[in-house]
Amino acid sequence: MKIAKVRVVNVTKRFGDLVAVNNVSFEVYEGEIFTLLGPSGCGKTTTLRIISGLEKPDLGKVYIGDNDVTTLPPQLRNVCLVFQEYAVFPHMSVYDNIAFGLRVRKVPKEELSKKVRELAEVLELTDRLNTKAGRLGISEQQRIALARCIAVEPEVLLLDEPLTFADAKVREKMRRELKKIQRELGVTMIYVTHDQLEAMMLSDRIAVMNKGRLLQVGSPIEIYDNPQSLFVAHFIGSPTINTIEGVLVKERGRFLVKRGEVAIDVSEFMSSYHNVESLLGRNIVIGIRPEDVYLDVNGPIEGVVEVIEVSGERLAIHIRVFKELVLKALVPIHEIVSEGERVRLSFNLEKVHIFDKATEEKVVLSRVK
Amino acid sequence: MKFHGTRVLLSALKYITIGVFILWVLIPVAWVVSLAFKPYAEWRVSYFVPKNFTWNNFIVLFKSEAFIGIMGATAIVEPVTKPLINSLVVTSLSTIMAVMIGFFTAYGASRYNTPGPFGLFFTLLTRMLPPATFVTPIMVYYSNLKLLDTHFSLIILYSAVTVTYGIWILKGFIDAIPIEWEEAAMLEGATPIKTLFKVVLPIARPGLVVAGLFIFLLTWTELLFALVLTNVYAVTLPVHISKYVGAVGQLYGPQAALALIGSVIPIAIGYAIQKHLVTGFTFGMVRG
Ligand SMILES: Nc1ncnc2c1ncn2[C@@H]1O[C@H](COP(=O)(O)OP(=O)(O)O)[C@@H](O)[C@H]1O
Ligand SMILES: [Mg+2]
Repeated sequence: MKIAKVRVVNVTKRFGDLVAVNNVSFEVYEGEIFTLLGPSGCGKTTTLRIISGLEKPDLGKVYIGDNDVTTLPPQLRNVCLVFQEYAVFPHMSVYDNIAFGLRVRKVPKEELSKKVRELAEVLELTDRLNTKAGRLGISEQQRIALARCIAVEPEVLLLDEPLTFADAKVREKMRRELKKIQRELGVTMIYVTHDQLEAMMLSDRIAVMNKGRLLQVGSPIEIYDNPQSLFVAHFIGSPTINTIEGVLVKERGRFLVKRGEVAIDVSEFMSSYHNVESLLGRNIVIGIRPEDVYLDVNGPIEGVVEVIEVSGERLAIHIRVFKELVLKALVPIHEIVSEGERVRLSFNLEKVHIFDKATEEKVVLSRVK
Repeated sequence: MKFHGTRVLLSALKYITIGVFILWVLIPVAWVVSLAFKPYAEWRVSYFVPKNFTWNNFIVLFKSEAFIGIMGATAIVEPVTKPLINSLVVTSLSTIMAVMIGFFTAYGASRYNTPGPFGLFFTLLTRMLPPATFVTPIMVYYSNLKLLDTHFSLIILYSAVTVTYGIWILKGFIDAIPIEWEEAAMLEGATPIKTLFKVVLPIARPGLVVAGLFIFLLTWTELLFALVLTNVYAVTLPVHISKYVGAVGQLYGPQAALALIGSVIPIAIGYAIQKHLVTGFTFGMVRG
C-alpha cells in the first residue's frame, strides 16, 4: 500500500497572461524519488515552489501528509528546497550554513555540532567547514545546500536541478550519492530536471511536463515503453524516437502511411488491431524507437545507410528510406554494416506507437485476440 | 614618424590636462595645510612652506580665548573640544539612524514595493528644496518645543534629511541580492525578521558601509542647519570653524588647523573601512 506524502490537486498558477502551471495534479508517494521532467520554462520550478509554499497557487490545493497546506507559509511546512542557483548563504562558513536550520530550531550545541560534522562527512565537506561558502564552487555549494536541507529532517526534500552546473563526472557521482542518501534516510524527494537521462536513472517515478501541463506520470520504464503523447515519446530516449508522419490509407488490401513520396506499409502491424478502419484517412504519426528497428534481409522497408555512429555499446545507424525520411536503428556493435550500403529493415511490431497528428495523443487501438 | 610625433603630442596634452586638474583640486588643500603650520606673521604671505614651522595653531584650538589674544587678534572663541565631540556624537548617531531606517525602508521598497514608486520618489523631497527654505520654520518649531541647541534636535533633523540617500543607495544593493537566499532561510524555518537580520543585513553590509560613509560626510560638513539651530551647547565643528574668521577677527591659522583636523577624521574613517568599500564596489562577486 503506497501512502501519498504530497498531493497536488488541480493546481494552476499564472504570471500575468502566462499560465506557468496549468491544472496540474499528481501524487508523490512516501519515500520515493519523484521527478518533474520537462524542457526549460515548462513550469517545473513553479510547481516546486508551490509545493514549498514560496508561491501561492491561483487555483487548486496542495496536501502534505493529510494536511491541506495550500495557505501555510513555507517556514511551517517542514519541506526544504535546494535551489538551482544561490543555494548557500555566501557570507557564512560552510559549518554555519549547515547549522542554520538547526540553530533556528534551537538544537543544543553538542547535538548540532555532531550532526553538522556527520553530514559534512557524508557529503565530503569536512575539510571545508571553516571556509566561507560564497568562495566555493557551484558543485560544492549544492552539496552544502543539500546538507543544510537534510540537517533539518524535512518531510519532503525538494531539489531544483541541483546538478546543472556540475561537470559530467561529478554529476554521475552526485546522482549516485543522492540516491544512496535518499534511500538511507527514506525521505520523500521531489527532483526537478530537464535531463531525461538523469530522470531515468534517478527516479522511482517521473512526471513529464510541457508548457505548464502535466502530460504523463509513471515509472521510467512505463514512460519509456508506453508514451501517451508524441511529446513524451520525443522527449524521452536517446537517440530520439523515429517518427513517420502521414495519412493512413488502404490500397489493394494493404495499409499504407503516405505523405508525398513517402509510403510505408504498416499492414502487418495494423492487422493485429480491431478498430483500424476508423483511422483511415486520418493524419497519424508512427513512433518507433531506434532499438526496435532491425536490420532484416526480409524486412519490408528498404534504404541506404548514411551515417554510422557508436552510441554506447551499440551502433546508431541512420538509414535514408525516402528523400524526406531517415530512420535510425540501434544495432549491436558487432553488426557488419557500412555507410552507403543498401539494407532492409523491419520493426518490432510490439513496440510501434501510433499518435494522432492533430492532438498528438496516442491512438488507442484494441488488439485482436 | 609624423604619426609618432602626433601621438607624443596627444599624450603630452593628456598629461598636461590631468596635471592642471590635479593642481586645481590640490592647491586649496595645500594652502590649508601650509596655513595650519604658519605662525601669525606668515598668514598673509603667499609662499607655501612656512619659514617658522609651528604647532601653535593646533595648540591654540584646545585652549581658552585668552591665548588667542596673544596672537595679535582679539576674538572670543571657545576651545574646540566640545564642538568636536558634538560633531562626532551628532554625526555618528544621525548616520546610524539614517542608515538603519534607510535599510528597512529600502528592504520594504525592494521586496514588497512599499511605499510604491511615488512614495519612494517622495522621500527625495527633503533634498529637492533648498535647505534655506525650511530652516526657519524648523527653527520656530524647535523653539516652541524647547529643542533648540540640543544634540537630539540635530540628530533628528540630520537623519531625516539624509535618510533618503540611505534608502536609494541601499535599495540598489538589496535589489541585487537574490531572493533565493531569503527563501532558503524561510524554508529552514526562520521567521521573516530572523531572515532579515541573519541573511539580508549581513549580505547588504557593503551597502550599509557605502551609504554610511556618504551620509557621514554630508552630515559632518553641514553648516546651515547647525548654524541656525545651535548656539552654545550643541555647536558643531563647521559652525565652530566659521567662528575663527568673522567680525571679531581673522584667525586664519587656527581656522586652517581646525579644517585640517575636521578633514582628517572622515579620511581616517574612510581608510579604516576601505576593506568593506572594496567589497561594496565588487558586490557582483558574491553572487553564485
Ligand atoms: N516570478 C515570475 N514572474 C513571471 N513569470 C515567471 C515567474 N516565474 C516563472 N515565470 C515564467 O513561468 C514559466 C515557467 O517557469 P519555470 O517554472 O521557472 O520553468 P522551469 O523551471 O520548468 O524552467 C516560464 O515561462 C517563466 O518565464
Ligand atoms: Mg527551473
